[in-house]
Amino acid sequence: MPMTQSHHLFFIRKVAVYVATFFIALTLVWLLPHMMPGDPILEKAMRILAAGSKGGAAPSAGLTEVQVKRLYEFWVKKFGLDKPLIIQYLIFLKNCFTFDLGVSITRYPTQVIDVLAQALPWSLALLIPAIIVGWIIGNYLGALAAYKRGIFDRIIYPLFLLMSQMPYYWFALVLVYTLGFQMGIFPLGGAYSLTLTPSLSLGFILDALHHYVLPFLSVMIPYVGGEAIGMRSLILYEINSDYANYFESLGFRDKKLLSYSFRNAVLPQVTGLPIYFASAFGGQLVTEVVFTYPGIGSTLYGAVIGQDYPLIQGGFLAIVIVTILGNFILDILYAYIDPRIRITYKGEK
Amino acid sequence: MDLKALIKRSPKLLVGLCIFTFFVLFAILGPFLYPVDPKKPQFESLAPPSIKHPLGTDILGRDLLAQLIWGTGYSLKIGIMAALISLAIGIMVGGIGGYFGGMIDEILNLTSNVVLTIPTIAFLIVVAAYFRTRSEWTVILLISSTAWAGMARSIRSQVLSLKTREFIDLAKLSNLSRVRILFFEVLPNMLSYIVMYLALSVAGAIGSEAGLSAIGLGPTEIVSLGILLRWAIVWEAVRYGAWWWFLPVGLTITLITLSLLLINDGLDQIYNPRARRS
Repeated sequence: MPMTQSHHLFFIRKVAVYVATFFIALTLVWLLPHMMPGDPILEKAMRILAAGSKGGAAPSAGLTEVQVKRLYEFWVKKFGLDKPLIIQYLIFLKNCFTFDLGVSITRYPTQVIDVLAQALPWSLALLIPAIIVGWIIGNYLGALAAYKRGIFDRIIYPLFLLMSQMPYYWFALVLVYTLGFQMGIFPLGGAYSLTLTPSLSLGFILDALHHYVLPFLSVMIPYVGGEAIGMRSLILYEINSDYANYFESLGFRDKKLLSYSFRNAVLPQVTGLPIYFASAFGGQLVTEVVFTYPGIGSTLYGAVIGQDYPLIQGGFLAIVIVTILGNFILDILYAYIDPRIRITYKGEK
Repeated sequence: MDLKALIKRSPKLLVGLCIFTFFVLFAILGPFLYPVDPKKPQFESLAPPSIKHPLGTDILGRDLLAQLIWGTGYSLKIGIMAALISLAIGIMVGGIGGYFGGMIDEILNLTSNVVLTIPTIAFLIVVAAYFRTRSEWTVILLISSTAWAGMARSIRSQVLSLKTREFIDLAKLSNLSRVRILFFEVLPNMLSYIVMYLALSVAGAIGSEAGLSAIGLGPTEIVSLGILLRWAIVWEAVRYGAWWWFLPVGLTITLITLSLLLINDGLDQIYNPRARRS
């Protein structure tokens, strides 16, 4: 059956893109330091030599030129830089697959993977509920605006447009200023009060939820705008289509008609989810910085400030992996929702 | 079709063009009408908006209206340049892939999809972190290095549908070369589409610049809208209650990208009969 084949091909292609993306991200992370001008180890050695000659209080003070040269050679060997590039690359891949991403510089001697493992749950706890809730509210409001039209639509549609175009982190500033600073309802930042240690006690959970509201709203609300605009135009299109006119002439209730057009319009909205997922995630990274929320975004920000390259690379890989997994889950969801794909997979007739 | 008729058919286009033109004029004429140095700390610190400083001053005593004028100018420049470069790459990749098909298309399409899958801001952060200093052109090229992919994908799908039309068969019969057909027959027929997409890409590039700058990896020598937001975040404008420090900047970014979205929508209404119906 040509249909089955094309859907299989569709899935294989998707997976091929994800695998390729993953390897290209890995290669990029490995390649970047090699492409930059200068020799970081030579620089480090020269700095030690300079510190020594100045007789400064550096721990390396007093090293002779020969000793520094030895040190340089030792480092080159230690980091495997004397091996051919392809071997270096393979070693790097092996390390990545064994979750050995090196040691963080700013949080020495913590492993990069441990820093990321601590940050990732916070980011996901923000991202996933915000996307689910935002998607539902956005699609509902969009459909409502298209259905009600008139004054309701005329007021809310420009609002949707504004919401969808606001930078997430700027909206975060506005929320912190109004609800946090002016009204004092919510804390200005952080994920929990610094006086508490993370635990599963009721007090801590309530405190964390209190801190959670503003970051959550600043990721969710801009996302509602984008979803609502999409849903509104899809429903408008459905309402004007031939089957809807036929329905109307048969005297069906509006509610019934809306539920039909909603089901038709939801499909493209699910297709668009991966794009929104990526942009919401990207926006969230900067939003976390505004709230000093301890997720991947803040971690990456700290790494950029401290020029902690292993952590920057690790953070990048973590973001790529989360995005790929997110897209993959959404693809499966899409296949499940779209009857054409579902039928070919379940073998229903 | 003249401009008047176009605008009559889509009020959205008119609104979008008005807002966008306003900010372009604001950036071009601003420095002459309001000749204050945006980077020189020379006034009272954290002064709220007044007649002397219409948008107030920041914590270092720099005039915020002057900063907004210059920031808007640089952000528009970065956005427009990055969009034009990604357009050129997108036309090449999408056009050639879509028209030639086969293995070339598979490879180019896979490449665009990979670039689309990697979250833009994460890619920009990891690459930009390796540059000690970043000129505006570093940032423009960085942004274009990912932004072309969306363009390529859209152009490819347009080329795929256009290349089956009769006039292309006719061109083939008259023995024109494939490159010639692509660039002189196919592409001119999707000009309206390209202009629409260009508006969206300028908005996207301005957003990317703002995000990258807000995290501290924007251009190092100039003021852009993103850098202004970064200063407001780093100096904790909120904790000083200095709403005038961050509110106008974010509104400017929002309104500029919104106007470009309206231009895109308006053009869509005019050129796409399906969108006009609703």
